[in-house]
Amino acid sequence: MKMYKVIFFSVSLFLLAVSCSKEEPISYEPYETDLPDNPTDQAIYDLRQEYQTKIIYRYDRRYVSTSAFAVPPRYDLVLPYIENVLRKLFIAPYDRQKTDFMREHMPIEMIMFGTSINYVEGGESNFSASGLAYGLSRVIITGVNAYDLNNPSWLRGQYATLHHEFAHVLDKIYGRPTGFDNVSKGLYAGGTAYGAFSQAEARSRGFWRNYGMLNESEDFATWIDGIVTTPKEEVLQIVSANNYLSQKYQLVYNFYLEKGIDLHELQAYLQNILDNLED
Amino acid sequence: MMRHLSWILFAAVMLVWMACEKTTTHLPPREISPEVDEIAKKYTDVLVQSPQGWVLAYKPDQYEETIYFHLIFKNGGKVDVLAGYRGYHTLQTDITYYFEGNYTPIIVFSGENVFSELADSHNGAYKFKIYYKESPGTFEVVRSDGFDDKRFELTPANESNLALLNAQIDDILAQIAYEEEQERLAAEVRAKIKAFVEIESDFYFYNLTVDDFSAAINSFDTVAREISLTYKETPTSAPATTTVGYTLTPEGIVLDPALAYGTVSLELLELGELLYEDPDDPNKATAIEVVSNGNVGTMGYAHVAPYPYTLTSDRSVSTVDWLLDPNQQNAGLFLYTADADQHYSAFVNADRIEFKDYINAEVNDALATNRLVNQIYFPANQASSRNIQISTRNGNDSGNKFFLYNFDLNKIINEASALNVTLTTAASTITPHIDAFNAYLDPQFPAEGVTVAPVIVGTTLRFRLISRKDSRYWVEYILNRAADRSNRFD
Repeated sequence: MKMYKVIFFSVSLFLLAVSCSKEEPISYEPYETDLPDNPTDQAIYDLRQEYQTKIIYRYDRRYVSTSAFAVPPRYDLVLPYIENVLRKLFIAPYDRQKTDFMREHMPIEMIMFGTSINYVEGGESNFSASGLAYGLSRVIITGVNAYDLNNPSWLRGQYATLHHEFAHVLDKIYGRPTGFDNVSKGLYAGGTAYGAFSQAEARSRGFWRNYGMLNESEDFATWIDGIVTTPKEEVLQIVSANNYLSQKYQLVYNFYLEKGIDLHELQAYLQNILDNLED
Repeated sequence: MMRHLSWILFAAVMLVWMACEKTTTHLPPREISPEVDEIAKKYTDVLVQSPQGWVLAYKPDQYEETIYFHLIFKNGGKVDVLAGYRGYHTLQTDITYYFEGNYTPIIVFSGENVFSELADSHNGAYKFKIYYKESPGTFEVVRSDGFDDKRFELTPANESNLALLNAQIDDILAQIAYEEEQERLAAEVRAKIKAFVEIESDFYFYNLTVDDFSAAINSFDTVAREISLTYKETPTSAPATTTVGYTLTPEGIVLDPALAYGTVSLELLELGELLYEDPDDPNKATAIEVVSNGNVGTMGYAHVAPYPYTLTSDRSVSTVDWLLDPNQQNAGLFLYTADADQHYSAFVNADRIEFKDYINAEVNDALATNRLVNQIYFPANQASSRNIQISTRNGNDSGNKFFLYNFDLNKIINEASALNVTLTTAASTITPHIDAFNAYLDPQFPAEGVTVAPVIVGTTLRFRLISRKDSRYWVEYILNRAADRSNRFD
């Protein structure tokens, strides 16, 4: 019996000693991000810090459809594009009216391409996209290589596209204004190519332009690019033409207004910036 | 009953009180997260505690230079602002400021203030993200709308950064003083122009003469702001008529386009004093002094022609050259007037009335009632003196009587169509009345000479001899030979 006690005691001591032996500690290495070492990446870094958005300019074939072609943006144009187009014509118009608006709504990724995205085969053959929005997370910017601050039509096209794609983002976050989809119900292009409809026909059916006849989402977004590129008086004159137009205008305008954004003020601001931009 | 009365009185007072209660607008609370609010309170403490206040160096997007602002933050969300920006260069007190933002503190200068003015007029900002740098104890601000990421320093006020602001304010004050002076000068110019166009004179010519440039002013339109001028680039050039616009500046009249003659360009006419040269009324202005390119000239009524009148078929021949040409003399040229008012200026007509009375009363066998004319002779015999003959009727009105007065005629070199006339010897019929004849002829032929100016009556050429001393004296002569009347001078 005594022998058992000695054995038990010895084993217990041994187990205690074994159980207390320490493993080698895992050394702590703090995570360090490489800070940008050039102005372009610094500008992108700053935007990410401020707006939680990633500007991607490095070419990745997977961002466009297999049936489409697009070229990467010229590196030397990325920085001026960010400074003069993204900041001045896209971010500032909203944040000027509503503090932190873009911090809370900016797409998570904005991907830059040098040209438009040209579809050469498949269902959208001969179609050229000047911008794309994927859900609420990603917007594709095209046409960067044509950057020219002295070309008002290019500039207007750029900010029209940006605000159009951003409308898709807001559409995904909030949904379109209640009742919007019903205004022109049954009047969309349906199986017909939207290009078959004239501007006058599109307007008579309550669309800003015929591209909006594609579907409700494009209908909504085309109203936005239309209003932000057209002076208020002209917009009011256009929408007074019929009830479809005036209803949609009210819905779209109020949708933004409820979020603190007056689209007419935004248009006036854009026009002022456009008039005063310097290379 | 008293009890009911008390209740009614109480109800009435309540009604009045409620009716007087003002409705107030309740603004939604500012959006600021608790974390940012905490930071904002710390920033407010730092801002308020700086004894001298803070200096912000900020350049709005569409403004040429950095503007300095002296900001004295006070408790209660108020700040006094002095800016190196015109209109706000005096202290603006109790401007409201507050913080907002969910992620980063944003300082907002609210209401009407220099920042909202800059936002409106120069794409500036009145909301700034604000970052504190503890080590130097300064702030950095960047406009909050993401328009750009330029950071501007907000540093404690000190002698050197306040000196920058004060220099800006000094510049503004100097600019204001300059503009006031310019405005005063502009008003002076406007007043001079007004006085100039109101000048009325019966001097014969209306000229703009500066240095070698001399033009006839055809019109001075203060509504259209245009001046129509006729001038000759050289004495032998054809006259050119031009209409130029003008603007009034504090310096004077700026012509647009500038008048070019030779190598000189006439653009700015500085206006000097009004000139009072009317011998009958020393308070009546006749012209104004002008200065251009450092040369002094005049604009207004004058006694002499702006440029020589020359033969259209041969610009080298002036009216004076033509008159004194021996060829005309050989051909028997003479000039004469008729006994009709239109041949004489008002001043000469007044003299004629007196002279007629004198002749009728004092001169033997002469009657001037229906005939008192001038005739100038250029005898074919060149040894004979040229002369003027005053002609009347004989005393019995039976025939014409002539009073001959010799004179020398000489061209005045370098003057526009100017002829010097010197009365020499008079005929014996004049001698007893020499003073009266001289008194009549001297104003027509003064020592300063006469201008020989062409006039076209119908289709015929006549010459007016206009006193260069007092152009209100002129006489219009008919050329005796019909062929000469087709000549054209201008």
